[in-house]
Amino acid sequence: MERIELLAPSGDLERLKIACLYGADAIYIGGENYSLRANALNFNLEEIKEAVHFAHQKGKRVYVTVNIVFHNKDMLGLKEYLISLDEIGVDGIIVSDVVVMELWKNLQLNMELHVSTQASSLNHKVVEFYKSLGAKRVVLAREASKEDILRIKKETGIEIECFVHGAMCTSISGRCVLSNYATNRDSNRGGCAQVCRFVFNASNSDQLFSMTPKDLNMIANIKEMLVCGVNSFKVEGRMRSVYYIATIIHTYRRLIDKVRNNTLEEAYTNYSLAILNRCANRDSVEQFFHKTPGKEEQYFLGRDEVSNKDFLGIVKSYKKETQEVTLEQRNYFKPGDIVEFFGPNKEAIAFTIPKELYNEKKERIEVANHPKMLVKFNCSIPLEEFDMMRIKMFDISEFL
Amino acid sequence: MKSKILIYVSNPEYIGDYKALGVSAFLFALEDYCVGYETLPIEEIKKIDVSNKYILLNRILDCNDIDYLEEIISSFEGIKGLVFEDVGVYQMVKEKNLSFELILFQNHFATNINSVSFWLNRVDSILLGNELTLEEIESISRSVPKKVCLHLFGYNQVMYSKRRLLTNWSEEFSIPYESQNLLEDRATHVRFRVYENKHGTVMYSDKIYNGNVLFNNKSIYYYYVNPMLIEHETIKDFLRNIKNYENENCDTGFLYKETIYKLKER
Repeated sequence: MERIELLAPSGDLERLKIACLYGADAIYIGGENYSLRANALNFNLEEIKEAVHFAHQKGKRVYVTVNIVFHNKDMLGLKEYLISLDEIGVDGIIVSDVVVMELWKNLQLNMELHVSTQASSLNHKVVEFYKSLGAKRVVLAREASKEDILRIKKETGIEIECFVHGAMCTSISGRCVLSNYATNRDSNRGGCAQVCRFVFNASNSDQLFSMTPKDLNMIANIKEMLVCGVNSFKVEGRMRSVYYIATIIHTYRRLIDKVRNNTLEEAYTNYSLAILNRCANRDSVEQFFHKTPGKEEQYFLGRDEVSNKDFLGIVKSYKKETQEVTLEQRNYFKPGDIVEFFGPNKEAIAFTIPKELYNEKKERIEVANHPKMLVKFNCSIPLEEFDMMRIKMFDISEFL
Repeated sequence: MKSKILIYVSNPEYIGDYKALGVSAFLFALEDYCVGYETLPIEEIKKIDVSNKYILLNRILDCNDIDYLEEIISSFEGIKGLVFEDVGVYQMVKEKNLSFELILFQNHFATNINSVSFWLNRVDSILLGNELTLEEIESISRSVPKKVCLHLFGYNQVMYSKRRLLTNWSEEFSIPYESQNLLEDRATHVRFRVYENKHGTVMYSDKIYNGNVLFNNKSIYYYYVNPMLIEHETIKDFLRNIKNYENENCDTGFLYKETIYKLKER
């Protein structure tokens, strides 16, 4: 039976654990070198070891991005790094440069070879080529249409990974060095400064020019993607927050499962869509799956992306006997606020913050207003560690 | 050395001038298979009477594009070689056992000895990336198993999108559509030249890259001259006096400027 997986990004161990708990089947991470998020925290080898150990214990897989476009001096230590990843038990590497593909083959490594979206694969011939080099999977370019996916799967039989959610490049990924020219930071070695999100003066008009794409959101197309033969549903965002990862993975996990169980209803899809859009604080739309995106799929002016304050806290512990929850605060809340809990094993459940709130020292407090402070209160909803509390956003009944 | 120049031809009427200036290899952008270039239909390219005729295919191709290329490629009589971006073209030519000379032209890739060697074991030559330093170019070109191609003159390609960015902008604001524009980033004041066709948008550098400092190596397969968006007279001036050509609108790209990518160590 073909593997079907929900693939989550993680920028550090905390996020990896959240992604595992909230329903990802696999997680992709970057090492300290050779990864396209050079300025993210990223994982050193010890942390990769811990990540793999944690994920494997939960029955999840870990892939490591080795996806820069190498210059000569970047080759230093690459061979030893790949051997280390293999020894650690990493399940696969995601690569774009043929130098890594060849090295992987010559070293006869056990971990799988996945071809990165940076390689811009949009047709069956190019995928056939990578398959001949030993690739187990190809991450298609985000520009792949439904017809392309279907055809590539049919012609090659290879595992197909497609992005389903998150930020888009304006360019075909890998075919852009705007950063190099505007900031002297090399896009294809992890230095992307997101110049395509800047605002430009145009020579023939006083109207400002912008080309920022809206985020990708394939929530309404999961069923079609499964029919096309997509194996791995990938979420973008190794630099995103734990709340973002939890929300997106929680939502897609349920969607994919409902599609596969044939229990998905339109109201649930619309409800999920509303949650996803609010979480990123940026519009998310379908992009290339059914047509070439036009003006509706991008923004035209600079946007101040102020992060929202929906995420109120993460559950650290819950005492069943006393119904006392200890929550690590992430945003301001106070008695009377209508919130909701969601978690790895929990759909969103509404709750009203009680009158009595306490701090870590069991002193009564009026509001929870310090980031990361521990707050205690009684909650009749059975909670678990890693459940999250957010502002009550939507009720599914609104979408029926 | 001019016999080592491969020049893109936007207008067949310029070929006489190029020949007179010693150029003998010509690149034509194939209609529906290119972005960022003015294209010609295959029938028109075939009618052009020059030897050393190459076809440029610089789009990332989808399945339909590859299917159609497979249909028409057998009619490419008189074409010496294909200069291509999508590796699917290589795979197709290999499967069909066609005898075209193959030059891989992947913008922003081909940046290290091992990757270039990998490809040179499969194709006839490869155009090195346009973000390399002089030192890197020299190191790669002397260490690989076959001769490579180098950018010599022209706007450097900076970005390729499948989106029609100028169309979208003109529709959104009801601005009369033009297929070219010059954009200036408001923060850094860096400018980019933009060119769109129905298959997407390409952004080029604002300065013309002049790599004439490299024009001294007999072991280079081709030096690539790209006149796209450049006045014909400027190209002729350059070809007349390559070694000493100077122009205030030119720069040397990254030849003497190494890019960074890690802002700080952890």
